[in-house]
Amino acid sequence: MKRIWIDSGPDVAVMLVALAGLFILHLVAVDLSTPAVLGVWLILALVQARGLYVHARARRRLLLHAHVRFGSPLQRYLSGRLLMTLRTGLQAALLSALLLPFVIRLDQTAAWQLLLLHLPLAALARSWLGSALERHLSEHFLPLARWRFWLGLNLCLLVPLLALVSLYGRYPDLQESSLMTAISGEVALQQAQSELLLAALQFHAALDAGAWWLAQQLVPVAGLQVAGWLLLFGVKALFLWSYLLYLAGTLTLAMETRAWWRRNDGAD
Amino acid sequence: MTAQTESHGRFDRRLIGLVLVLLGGALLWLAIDQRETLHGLWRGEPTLVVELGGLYHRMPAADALALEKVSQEQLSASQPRLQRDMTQLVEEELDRIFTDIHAQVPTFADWYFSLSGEYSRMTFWLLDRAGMVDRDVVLERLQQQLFDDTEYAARLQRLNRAGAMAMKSHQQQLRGDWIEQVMERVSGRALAPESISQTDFRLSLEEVLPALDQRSGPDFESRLAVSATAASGAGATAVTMRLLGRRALGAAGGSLRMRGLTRGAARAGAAAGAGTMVCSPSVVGAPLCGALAFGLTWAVTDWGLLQFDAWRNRDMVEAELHASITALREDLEAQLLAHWEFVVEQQHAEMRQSVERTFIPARELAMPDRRRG
Repeated sequence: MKRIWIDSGPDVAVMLVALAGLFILHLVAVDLSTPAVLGVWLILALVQARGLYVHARARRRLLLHAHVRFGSPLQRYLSGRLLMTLRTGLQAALLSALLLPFVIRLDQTAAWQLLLLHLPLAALARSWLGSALERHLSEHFLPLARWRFWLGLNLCLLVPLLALVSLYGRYPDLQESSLMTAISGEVALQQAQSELLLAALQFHAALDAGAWWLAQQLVPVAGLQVAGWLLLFGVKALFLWSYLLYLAGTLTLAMETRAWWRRNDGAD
Repeated sequence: MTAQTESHGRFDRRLIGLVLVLLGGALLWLAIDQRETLHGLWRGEPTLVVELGGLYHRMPAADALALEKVSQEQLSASQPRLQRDMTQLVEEELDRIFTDIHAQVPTFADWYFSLSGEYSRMTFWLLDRAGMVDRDVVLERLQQQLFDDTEYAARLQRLNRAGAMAMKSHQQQLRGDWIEQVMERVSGRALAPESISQTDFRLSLEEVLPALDQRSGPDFESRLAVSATAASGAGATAVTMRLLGRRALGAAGGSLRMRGLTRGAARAGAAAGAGTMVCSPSVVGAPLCGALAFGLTWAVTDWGLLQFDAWRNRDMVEAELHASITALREDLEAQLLAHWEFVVEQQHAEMRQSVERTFIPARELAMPDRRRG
């Protein structure tokens, strides 16, 4: 157990830096110009894309290893470099486009504290999953299984916790307002130096206001309220998925950097 | 031994790393805890730029909220005042209209208990029986003397227009007072448009003003007049006729018609008797004499019966007509007041919502920890 704690140290450090980066972004993003916002978006997308790409490749390798003979040219054709890069790049670009406004609009101190407290748990889970799965899974499947289990475990932990924190949050009272009033009020509150970021923030604000409005309606049709809460949780789950992919991407990059460092160090 | 030392060294390094990580985590926790302060340091205290009449004023969110309170208070005070004004207007005008209508009742009764009235009724009754006309001469006369002669429908339409005008002037007064109060509170905080940053929260009070303009504009006035007319204006005459037909003439008119028929039988009998008695069958021109005597006796009998009928029933007919007119007035007044109450309520509700919508950014900004996410 002591060893797991010690082994988790570097992972916690990496994720801490990643979270600190997001927090700084939360503080300063509204004053960034459009090129700076695009730069940040690109960095987030690249980090996520790296993690997604590495694990997509691992998955493909596993598939090829199981179904295609070694030495066949199909091994090369199906390794999926270009298409896989494009696909994961696009996926990462979309997810980071969601992550950016989410991080900026996360105006709840308790939610940030939750994300911080989650980091050591996430690192411990990663080490524990590594040692627990090592005994059962092949070395080809282990990294992929660890990545999937880690993402799933963290998502299952964070979604209810963040939803619980949100339940105790203060929201504008929209019971008496119309849907349009609720949305236009929340949209009007968004401010950003960059027009592009402003549009993204306004879109998210409209989505949030719609969900809050639905959740606060005291109509006899309970379906509306349920729809509101589902929308709220769904949106949160999407944000957390994107956030976890960002953390996973950071960990992958850190691991690769460490490996590269060791290689170079060893070569020297 | 060397391997053991190296392993110990690695463990120590990791331990130091872990301590550093804990330190970093504590720092980040502190930063998150002081999120609002850091926001303040980075962006300064959030202030609002209030825009009104092409001028910009910078103020803290709490002061902007005071503006919302002032606006809502003014609207709350305005609604009962306007409601009272409208009630007074409607009551005064209906008083004038119905005083004139009541004054016409004796004129109608004069006609009703006159020979011309009697013969008109008989003629139209006979024609109606013969299937040649389908008109009720009594109701037509009632319509003409009580309502057409007093310009009832036109005066109701004028009343609606006067109501719309009263609302318009009330709105203008309200807007003027509101601007004055807002300007009083924002004075001394004006700033040049160039000094407004893109990240400043803007609160445009212009959005509240068009709402007032729109309501007091000609479109609104004509819409109002049309809806009010539908409620009480042009259709009111028909409503009146139905009411009067059902209430007054159902009781008084029905009995009058019965009395008319009785009178017809009596005067026919008397006239026939008189014709036989006055003109001897030996006299030359006896048929002409008989006809004259018959006619005269008929008319005199009829006049006498009418006078008798008037002496016995006129007061009752007039009283019933007055009662019906009063009931009509009460119905109409209730209808008009309900209409104006609805219009004023709806208008103020929209304005309240408009104010509320406009000040949402100020309310949100005034919250120390705007919970979202």
